Amino acid sequence: MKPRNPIIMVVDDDAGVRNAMRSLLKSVGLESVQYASAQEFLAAYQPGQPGCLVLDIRMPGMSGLELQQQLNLRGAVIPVIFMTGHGDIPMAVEAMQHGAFDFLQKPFRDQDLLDRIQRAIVKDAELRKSLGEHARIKEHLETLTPREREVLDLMTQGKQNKVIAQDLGVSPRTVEIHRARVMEKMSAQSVAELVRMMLDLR
Amino acid sequence: MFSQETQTLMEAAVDAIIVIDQRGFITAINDATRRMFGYRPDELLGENVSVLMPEPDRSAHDGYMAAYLQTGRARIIGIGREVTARRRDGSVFPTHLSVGRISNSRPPRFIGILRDITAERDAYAALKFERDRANAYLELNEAILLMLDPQRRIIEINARGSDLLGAPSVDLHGRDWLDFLNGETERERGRDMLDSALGSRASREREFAGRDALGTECRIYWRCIARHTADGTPAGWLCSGSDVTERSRRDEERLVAQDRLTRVARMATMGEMAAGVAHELNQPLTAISTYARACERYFAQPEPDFAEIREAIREIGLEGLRAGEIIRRLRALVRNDVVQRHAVDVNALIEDLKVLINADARTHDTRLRLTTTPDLPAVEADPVQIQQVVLNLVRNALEALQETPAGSREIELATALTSAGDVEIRVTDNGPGVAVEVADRIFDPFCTTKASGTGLGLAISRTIVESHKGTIGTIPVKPHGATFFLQLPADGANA
Repeated sequence: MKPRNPIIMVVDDDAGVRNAMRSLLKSVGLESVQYASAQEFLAAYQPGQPGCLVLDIRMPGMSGLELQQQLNLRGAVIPVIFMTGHGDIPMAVEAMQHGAFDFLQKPFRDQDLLDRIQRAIVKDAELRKSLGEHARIKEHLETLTPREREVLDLMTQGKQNKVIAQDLGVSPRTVEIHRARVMEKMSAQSVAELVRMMLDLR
Repeated sequence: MFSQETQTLMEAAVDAIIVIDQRGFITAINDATRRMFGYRPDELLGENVSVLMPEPDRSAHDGYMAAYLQTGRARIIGIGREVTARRRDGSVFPTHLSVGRISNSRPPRFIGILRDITAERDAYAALKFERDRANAYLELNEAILLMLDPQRRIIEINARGSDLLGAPSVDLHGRDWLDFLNGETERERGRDMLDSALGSRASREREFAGRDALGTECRIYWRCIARHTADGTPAGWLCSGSDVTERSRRDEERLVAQDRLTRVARMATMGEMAAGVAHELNQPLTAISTYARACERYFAQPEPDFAEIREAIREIGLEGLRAGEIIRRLRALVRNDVVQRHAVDVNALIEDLKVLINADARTHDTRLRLTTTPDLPAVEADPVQIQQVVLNLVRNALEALQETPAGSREIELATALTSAGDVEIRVTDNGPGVAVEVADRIFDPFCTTKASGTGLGLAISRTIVESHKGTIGTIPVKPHGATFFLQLPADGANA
């Protein structure tokens, strides 16, 4: 599967602001999509699309904050940059507490916005990459038999084959075989890598 | 002693006729005298005439006669005067006495004729009493009272009238009543009132801008009624005027104060809405600066995208106008002009408010729905004041929704034509509604359910609406919420 280009998703009920953002983002070669309301965005939202969300904090109907909560409930990872007005600082603080990537007060300097968007895209890519890693590790874990899983847990606790054999009441030779299977199924080159994988999952 | 004719004459007379000698003794008398003084027929002859007088004349009479006989200077003879007479029982009564000396009588004899004037006196006293009373009414009256002849000239005026209209030094008699009205328009109205009274038995009344004889301006409430002679010929008018200068000044001051309060309330409302307005201005400003920076970036490219640049510049222009429009509408609401009423389209008036109330609704995370009924008749109104009422109702609704979850706050602003033909503006929210215990005094001053409210918003709204001859009220909404409505008579509905 070819990795998709990041898209900046702009949600603002004000058409003027929306179109200006599109023009600005286009001028620096960034692709963007504009939505007039939180509902419109949710209806079109594709979790697999990398990029970031630029969201007006106050909108009639569903506000930016409520949209953020919706996305959190869905386990979405997309970074959210909030646009706020004067006197919206308490709301911005709340947004940050709920995991917003950053916020900007309108009217803002274009460079500030673009810098934040760039950082958000990088963060999104990292998240997606690490999430991709997680998914792969989990997939591999699911292929292990219960016995192999037991061996894996004891291996990552740093126990020697002899000890594992004693703990499980089997021969060291059998442990050898399970161990080779675990390394193969998890596509790990070393026990150290196996330990890192399991730590990542926590 | 007297001839037959003289005797008959004396007895026929209603007046008392008494003849005395030079010492004052009665030598002849008629029956009318005895009846008048309460004596029997055989009494009085030969008595001193002073028995018919009360003190001090009684004791002094002999002296009066002696003085006359000595000096020849008459005090009463040929003059006649009113004197007090004394009956046999001692009671006294007023009489008119004329005395004559019987010519060629030696020693001299005198004849006195007494007429009982008790009834005349009583009638006169009663008349005087009535007149005094009438005068007292006239003079004590706080009102100007005057009588005009058919040419509107003042023929009678009371003291208060002289005070108010003339200053005591100026004689008002004979002056045209119209001289005391200020300006040709007022004189025209004055003429109308008198003419109208002339054609009717009823009184006519109107307030006038007036001026006194020295030119000082005043306001007088005049009432007049036409007078006619017995045969129905117009005989002029009776007018009463109350000085209402003070009252109309107070009315004026009240109106000015009310206007000022209304304006202050409007400013306060605008202040409260500042956050929303600032946000609303931020949108075009954000768009403008963003477009401008985008343009810079396009220009910096080796092959600038001119279509994009042209579009951005066009948008910059439009957004600038939009910002200006927001400010224009705001300014219209905070203008300090005097109240100006004219035919107003309520829908246009609400359209003008849209930017502001949308901004405010957004600040309160509330969805605002506008439902206007097209082609409403115009209303005679001061648009800014009506907008103030609408703003007030919308803001109250927004505040009523603060306990409602942000996602479900809704306000509907609607216009409609009522079955009575009034133009109606309704603001409906889906909040908790108006508590029963405040519902009937919610429009009273200082009635508030809000911690931060002054309690004047709805009271001022009611004052405004009532000054437009409209009504304002509230009705509950099912399952919860409230509708506040104001109804204004369509322009021309009263004509």
